[in-house]
Amino acid sequence: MWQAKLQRHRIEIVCAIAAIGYLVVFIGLPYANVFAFSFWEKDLYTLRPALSPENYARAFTNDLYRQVILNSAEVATIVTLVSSVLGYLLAYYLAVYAERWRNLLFFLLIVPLWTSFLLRAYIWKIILGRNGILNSALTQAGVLDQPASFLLYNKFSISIALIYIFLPFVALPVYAALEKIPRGYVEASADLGSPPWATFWHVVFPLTVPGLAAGAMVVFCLSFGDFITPSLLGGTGDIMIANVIIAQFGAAYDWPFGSALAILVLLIVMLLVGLSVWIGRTVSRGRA
Amino acid sequence: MSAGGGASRGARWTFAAAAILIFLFLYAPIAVLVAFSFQESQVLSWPIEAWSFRWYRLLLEDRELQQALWNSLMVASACVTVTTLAGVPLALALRRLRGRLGRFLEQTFLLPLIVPQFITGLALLIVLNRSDIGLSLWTVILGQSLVWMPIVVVQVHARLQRFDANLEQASMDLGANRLETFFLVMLPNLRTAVVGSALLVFTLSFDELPVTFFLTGAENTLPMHIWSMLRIGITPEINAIASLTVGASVGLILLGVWLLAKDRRRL
Amino acid sequence: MMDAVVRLDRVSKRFGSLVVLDDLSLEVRRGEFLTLLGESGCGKTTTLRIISGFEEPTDGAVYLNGRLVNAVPAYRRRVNTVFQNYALFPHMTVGENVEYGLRFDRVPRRERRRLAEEMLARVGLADKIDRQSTALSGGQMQRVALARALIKKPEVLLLDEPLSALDARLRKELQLELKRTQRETGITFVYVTHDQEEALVMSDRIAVMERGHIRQLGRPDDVFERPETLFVAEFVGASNKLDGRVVEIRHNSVIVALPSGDRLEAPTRSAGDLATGTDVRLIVRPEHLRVAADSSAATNVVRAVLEDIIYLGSDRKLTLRVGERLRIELQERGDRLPPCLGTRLGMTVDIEIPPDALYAFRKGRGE
Repeated sequence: MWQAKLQRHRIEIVCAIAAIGYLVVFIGLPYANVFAFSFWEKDLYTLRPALSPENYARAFTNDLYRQVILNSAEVATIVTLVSSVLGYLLAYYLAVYAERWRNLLFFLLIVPLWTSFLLRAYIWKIILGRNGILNSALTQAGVLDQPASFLLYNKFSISIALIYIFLPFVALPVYAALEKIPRGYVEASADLGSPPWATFWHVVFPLTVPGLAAGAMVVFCLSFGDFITPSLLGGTGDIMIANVIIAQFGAAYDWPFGSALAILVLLIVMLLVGLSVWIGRTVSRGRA
Repeated sequence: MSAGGGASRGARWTFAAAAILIFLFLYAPIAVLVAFSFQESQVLSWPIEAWSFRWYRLLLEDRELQQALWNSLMVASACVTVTTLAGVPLALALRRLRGRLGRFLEQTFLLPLIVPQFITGLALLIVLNRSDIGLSLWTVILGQSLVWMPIVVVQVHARLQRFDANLEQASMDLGANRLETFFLVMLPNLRTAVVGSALLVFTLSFDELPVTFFLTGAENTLPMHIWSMLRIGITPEINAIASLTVGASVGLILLGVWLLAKDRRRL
Repeated sequence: MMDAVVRLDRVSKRFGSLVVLDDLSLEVRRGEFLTLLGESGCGKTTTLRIISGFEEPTDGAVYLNGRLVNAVPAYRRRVNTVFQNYALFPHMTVGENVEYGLRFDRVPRRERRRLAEEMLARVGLADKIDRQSTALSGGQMQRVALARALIKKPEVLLLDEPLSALDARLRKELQLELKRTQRETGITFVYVTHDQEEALVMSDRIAVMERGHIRQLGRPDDVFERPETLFVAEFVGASNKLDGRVVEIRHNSVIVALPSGDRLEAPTRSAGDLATGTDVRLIVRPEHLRVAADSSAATNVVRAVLEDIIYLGSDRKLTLRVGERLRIELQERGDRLPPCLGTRLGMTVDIEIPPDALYAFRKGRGE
């Protein structure tokens, strides 16, 4: 009986083995190694296998690391909120009002996605810098007496660059969600006497929440785990968690501690992914 | 969705104004960058007084940069090959798996795309280090392929979901075996997904830094080279590189859009 | 014994705990047009897929030309299918679609093209050979799907509701076309549909299916005029249902009393196990009822209130109420109805039910 079943499902079984094999070797194994390493110990210049919670204790008790994590969370939150609002506005304009401009504008929205992340962060260095274009323009216009230095190397410059980079990440899924809403829904709502804002709030917005949540989640995770922008545009006080981790794998040569911090970042990211999936599901089940 | 005739004029203009401002925010910096790439002076200053191709000429002479560019092209091409050859079969495998196992695998496949990339990079660094494998462009290719694999798998898998299973059955019904059916019926219909994700993987890989950062040996890719240039300080040469990459991306997207449109006309 | 192209022997199909086919046996005769008729979920499509090889039976044996084919994959069976939504390959032209199956019979390219042209000419689409398959109308797609399957010269052609996506007029036209094609080619057709009219028009034999069983297998007139079970009687053709109780047994018939007090005589036929006191359901088709001209003369008459007259072109349909809540329908050609019937709305009329048109079935028995 089970042999016949095996025979009938042999393709499924081969597929399952292939997929699971890939997952175990190329996804499970690397992350499991990070997890294992996070319990190792470091003696001066050698790493020693161990089962020590020391690294985690250090991450939680040392104020510096707590501050760095909070710092990263703060930047990521600001970036997520601002790009969500701006991205939503843009997507809404594209889907609802753009009409014959829609294709061109959509194209303009995805072009930045295909250009270098590194260079898009770098652009802000030449715009916000002491001799940057903004300062030049402001001094020439007489707004400033001398170039301002508060524009660059702080959380503001990091955030603005990240918003600049990640705005399309929200706009695209929201646009996709708006596109899919049949016009009949909006017309039915209006027909039933709903004013436009109520139609938006009760009909349109709930249908875009899964897309918005997914986009916001991606933006948060990517900002939270970014090390390029802070090291280009951040000051010494604005390092983010990714910079700290990378330092552990570089000059500090403390791989176990770096691994422990990486695991913490992973947990935070997973938590957020879970949350956004949950939001997406509840909203689409409850209201749509 | 689009606004009916009754949409209020005020709302329309408010949104249009917001959209214009946002697009300005997105494009003004690029315009500045391109403008600066043609500036004669070594020091960036506005307004630009003298224009020249000086920095572009410098690029032509920069051997290191050209080597890095070549390395990046090799890595990106290798990544496209690996992710396509492995990703399409993996997507086909995923399609066969239904129920809880299938859903679980599908979500786990996405992991490298969700996890911050530098963590995937350092995870692989640990594995390679423990198995005494030296770092080189090969390890970069391995790392990037792992990170971009979900893109191919997800895109192809999504297309497979929409693929009419009857077509597959019709083909087998007419005498084609599984392999013939795959090449004659499924692949032609998956083509846009495969080409689209390959294009995406190519550009993403070309631009990738966080994984490469951990996994590269002595050789540099283009982003790594730019990264080290940026650490030293701003040089207008970077503006020239950036302008060229923007131009190249626009060209690539236009090509992609054109291919897609051609494909749609056929369908 | 007739020559069976397909034989299903005690075939069952279960998906987990769901039983789709339950110990089903069926023989398809060579050259016939057999229709599997039933509502969605009755197992008709599963039966088709077991013949084509897309599903393996959980139990039982499938024979093609007397050879056991349980483990033979679809692409090695000389059986072809016309799919419900045609499943034309969207990336190929009409011609490429039609000649597709010949690739695997190692037919040279030029010969394939010639055969495709021939086959397309047969279905009246010779001029469309180089069109993209997605640029066709529904009816044209249906014809291409048919040509694509027929070019393989299958032993059996399976058709899974091939006309369901088309509008009524086109459907009628293609029904006749399919029937003609079947007769000309002599290929065995197994046709799946939920549309009983379609089944009656085209089939040599009809298998009425319900919940994984074949309830009746026979010629269209058998199924329509001599239903063997209550299900078949209710499913095939419009029918009036009159519930009552047996009050008297006669030689070849029973007398049934309705709740309204009317008594009707019905032949027993095969349902000979009706004892006095059994609850029965009487089935009678609307077109068999008649408005009685003279109530005293006829037997089997019920008194009914005329509620509505619906105009159907040459026919009229009368809605009538018998007793408190039983509603029945009567269909008759307009010129055969008594004149001035319209003035009798809301009044009682006598309805005559010829005993031969009545079918009595025991109620509440598991079918």
